[in-house]
Amino acid sequence: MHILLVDDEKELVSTLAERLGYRGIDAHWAATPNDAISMLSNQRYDIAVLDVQMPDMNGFELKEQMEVICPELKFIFMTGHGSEECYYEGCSHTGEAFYLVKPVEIDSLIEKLNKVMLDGGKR
Amino acid sequence: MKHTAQEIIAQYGPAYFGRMGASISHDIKNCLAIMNENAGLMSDHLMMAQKGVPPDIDRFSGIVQRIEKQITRADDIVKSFNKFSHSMDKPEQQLDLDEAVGLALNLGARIIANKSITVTHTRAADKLYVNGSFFFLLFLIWSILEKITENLASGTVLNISSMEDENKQVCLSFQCEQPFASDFGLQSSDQALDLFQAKIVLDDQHNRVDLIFGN
Repeated sequence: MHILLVDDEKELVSTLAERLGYRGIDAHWAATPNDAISMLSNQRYDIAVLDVQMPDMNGFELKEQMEVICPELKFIFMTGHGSEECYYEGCSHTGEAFYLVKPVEIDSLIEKLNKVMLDGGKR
Repeated sequence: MKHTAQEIIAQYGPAYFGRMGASISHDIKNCLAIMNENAGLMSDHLMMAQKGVPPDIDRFSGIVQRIEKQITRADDIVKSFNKFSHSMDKPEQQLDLDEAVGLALNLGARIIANKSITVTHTRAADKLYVNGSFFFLLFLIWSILEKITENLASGTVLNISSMEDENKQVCLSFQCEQPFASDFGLQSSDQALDLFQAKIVLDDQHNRVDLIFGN
């Protein structure tokens, strides 16, 4: 499983990537949407885990751009924003099962990654 | 029609307070998320040590430093929010203008960052004071900032500077290279402006707005 984590909180995604690595998951990270697009252009990923609120481009806009580069890519969103509006928007993009609220428990993230790989996620 | 401070608070206070609260809670969530991951990473290393992998002291030290950094960050955010929460305590007091600008920017830092706009703050050489409600001053500064940044392109730099103008009036100047909206009517701010006996002056090029205090 090849994962790309994208969040402007660099210390969050870098640590999460390291912890996923200890659990046998190949996880890379990007701290800007532009870096993520560039990485996706150069390497194949199965799932992108995207923060919702980022400077330059939000996670939903980034998803649209990533889908152009890699149509088969699947998505999970994570957010620190607990608003209902944000929750429903996130769910509309990925389905309720693939929307995480920070702080993220690594076991529930892995569970969702496995579920996305099996179910394919809502597209 | 003149509005009282209480009327303005009742009308616009909850919206401003809610917007700042949502932004701040988002930032605190990020701090907690980073601390959570680093605590988890430390736990991962401890488990590896129990399985015979020699513990890497430098690695532990780095993790602890990252957690401490986030504690400091979260503490600063909470301090700002606490100051903001107490800004309604007194209806009128002498206010340090630059302190208010700094707090307004701290409170809205995430919102500004999401617009990909950089806001710089140039403080006056000497402290400048205005009289009024701290809450209204923060609200006024934020309302102007939001209006200016509404249509600014990503990457724009906006400078806020405090000064005394040629008439010895305290002034807060918002300036950027790119012109911003020509319509500068702010219904909510107009009422707060009254309370400070202040006025907003937009220059001909529409790239500078001065908030001039008469109080």
